[in-house]
Amino acid sequence: MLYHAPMLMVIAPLTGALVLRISNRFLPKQIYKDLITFVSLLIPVFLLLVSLPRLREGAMVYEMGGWPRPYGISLVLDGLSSLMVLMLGTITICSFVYSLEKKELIPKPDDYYFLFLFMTTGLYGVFLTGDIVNRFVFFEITILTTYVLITYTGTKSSLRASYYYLVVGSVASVMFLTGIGLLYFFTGFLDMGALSVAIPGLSTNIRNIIFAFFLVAVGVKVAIVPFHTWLPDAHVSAPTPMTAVLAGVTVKTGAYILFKLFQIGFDTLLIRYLIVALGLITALSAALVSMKYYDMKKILAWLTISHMGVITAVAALWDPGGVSAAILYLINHTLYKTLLFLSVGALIYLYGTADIRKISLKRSNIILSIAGIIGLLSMAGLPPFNGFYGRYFLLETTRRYPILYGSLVGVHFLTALSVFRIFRLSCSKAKTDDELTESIMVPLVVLSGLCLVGGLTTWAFMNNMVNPATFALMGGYYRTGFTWHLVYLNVISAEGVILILSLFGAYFVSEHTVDLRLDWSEGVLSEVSLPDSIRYIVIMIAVLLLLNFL
Amino acid sequence: MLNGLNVGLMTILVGLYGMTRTKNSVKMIMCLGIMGSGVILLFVSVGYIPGAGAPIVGHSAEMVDPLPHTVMLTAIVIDLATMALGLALVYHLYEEYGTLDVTDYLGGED
Repeated sequence: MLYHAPMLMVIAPLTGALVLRISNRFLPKQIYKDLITFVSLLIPVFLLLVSLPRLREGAMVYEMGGWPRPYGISLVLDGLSSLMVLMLGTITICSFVYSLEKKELIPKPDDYYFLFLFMTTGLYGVFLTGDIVNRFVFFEITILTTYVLITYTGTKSSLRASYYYLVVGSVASVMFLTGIGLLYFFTGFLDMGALSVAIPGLSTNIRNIIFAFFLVAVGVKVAIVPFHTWLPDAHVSAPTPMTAVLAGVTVKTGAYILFKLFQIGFDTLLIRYLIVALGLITALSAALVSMKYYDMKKILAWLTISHMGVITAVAALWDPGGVSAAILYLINHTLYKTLLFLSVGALIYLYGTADIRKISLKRSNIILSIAGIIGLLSMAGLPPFNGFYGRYFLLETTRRYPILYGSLVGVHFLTALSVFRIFRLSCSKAKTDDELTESIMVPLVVLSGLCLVGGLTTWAFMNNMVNPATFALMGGYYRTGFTWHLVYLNVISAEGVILILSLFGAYFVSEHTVDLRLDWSEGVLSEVSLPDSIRYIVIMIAVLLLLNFL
Repeated sequence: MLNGLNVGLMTILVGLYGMTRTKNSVKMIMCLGIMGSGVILLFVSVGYIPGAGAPIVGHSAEMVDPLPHTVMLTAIVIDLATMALGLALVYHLYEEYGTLDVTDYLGGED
C-alpha cells in the first residue's frame, strides 16, 4: 500500500475531478460536491504523513507500470518533493475552504472545482515525477486549467490577463519542449536520474545552448524580470482562492524545476552568474515598482516577483547554504503570501475594493485585522514571524558575496517600506457591517498560526524538512543539529541586527515617501505590451547565446 | 545543412519572429501553431534513422526511435488544446473590446 503512495497522490485529485463530473446524476446536492472535492484534496496529504517515517530511510521511487528506470516513467518522493507536496497540500486545502464562500465564483462553482482538482493533479505531478517530458505534460495540465480559472471573475481585465498568460506561457512551453528535444538528441535519455549522469559529460557550450531554451521556460514560470510581464495582471484579476494558489504554489513550480535543472547538470558558471544577475535585478526593481500602485493585490503581486527573484538568485549560488536558505524562504514566502492574498480577498468582500486608500486594516473584522497584520509583518521580516528567519539565513549564507549581501539588505528595506506604506495609507474611516463567514475565517486563522509557529520552530523545520530537501538536491548539508536557541540567537547576531535596524529605518522613511511615481517603469517593467514581452524573450535567448560564444 | 532538426529550429524561430512583429491576436495564435509544428518536426527528426523501418518487431532489421514520436503525440494534443482555448479567448476579447489589436487591450478597466 505504502509503495503506491506517490502514484495515489497524483491519482486522488484526478479521480475526484472525474467523480465530481458524473456526480451531477446521482448526488445533485452541493454539500456532496464540496465533500468529494475536500476528500480528494485531503488524501494526498494523509498519504504523505503516513509515508513520512518510511522517507527517513531514503527516497521512495515508484516505477509506473513496472517499467524500470530509465526506460519507464517514475515518480520520486524524496526530501525535496515531500516538502513541496506538504506545502501544496496545505495551500490547496486552505484555498478550497476559502472558496466555499461562493460569492466570487461566478458562474458555476462545479466547473471551478472540476478545473481546480485538475490543476492540483498537475501540480502534484510536477513535484513528484522523475521524467522530464512527464514534468512538461503535468505542467501543461496545470497551466491550461490556470488559463481558464483566471477568467472566473468574468471581468474584461481577467480575459485580457488570461490571453496574455496563454501566449507567453505557450511560448515558454514550446521552448521547454525544444530544450527537451535537444537534450534527447545529445544524451538519448529523458529520465532525470539518467540525465544527471549523462549531462555533465556534455561540453559547457552545448549545456549553455540547451539552457538558453530552458531559461525562457523556467523564467516565465518563476517570473524573473524580462519574463515577469504576465504575472501582475494574472494575479490581480484571478478569483481570490485562485490567486492564493497562483502566488503560493504555481510560481514555485518554476523554482522547483530550476533546482532540478541545476541538479541534473546545468550548473555552468555562465548560467549561474546570469541567473544571479537576473534575480537581483528582479528583486530590486520589482520591489521599487510595487510602491507606485494603490491596488493591494497589485502591490502583493509585484512583491511576489521581487521575492522569487531573491530565491532564484540565492539558489543559483548552488552551494548547500544558498539552497537550504532558498528552500526555507520559499516555504515561508508561500505561507505569508497565501495568507495575505486571502486577507485581501476578505477585504474586497467587506469593502468592495482592494484600493488601500479605501480600506482599513485596523478597523475591519478583528480576526481579519490580526491575520492581515501578521501577514504583513511576516513579509516585512519582524522577528517572531517566519519571514525574518528566511531572510536571516539568506543573509548568513551570502556573507562571502558583498554585492549579493548588499542587494538582499536593499530588498529587505524596500519590502519593509512597501509594507509600511500599506499601513500608512490604509486607514480609511469607512465602516462596514458585513460579517465574514467561517469558510473565510478558518484559512486565515490556520495560515496566520502557521506563520507564527513556523517562525518559532524554524530550528525543527530546518532539521527535519529543509536539511533532507537540501540533501536530496545536493548530497550535502549546510549545517545540521539546529537547536531551539536559534530563535533568539538569530535576533542578536550581526545579520539579525542589520535586518531589524533596516526595518526601523524603513518605518521612519515611510513617513516621508508615501508615493513614488516611477514614470520610467511604464512600458519597460509594468504595462508591457504582448509583442514587447515576446521581444524580451528573444533578446534573453540571444544574450545567453552571445555570452556563450564570446 | 538542411535536415529536419535545423528546419524544425528555424520554424520555431519563424514563429517567434512572427509574434514580435504582429499585433493581431488571431495571428499570434497562428504563430503559436507554427512554433508547435516546428517542435514536432524537430522531435520527429531526432528519432529518425536513415533507411530504418517502422518500430514494429520483425518488420525490418533497423528501426527508427519511437520515443520522440510518442512524446509528440502528447505535444500535438496539448497544442490543439492551447490553440482552441486561445481562439475562444480571442473571441470573447473581441466581443468585449471590439478590436483584435493586442496593444489596445492594455489599460482597459472593467
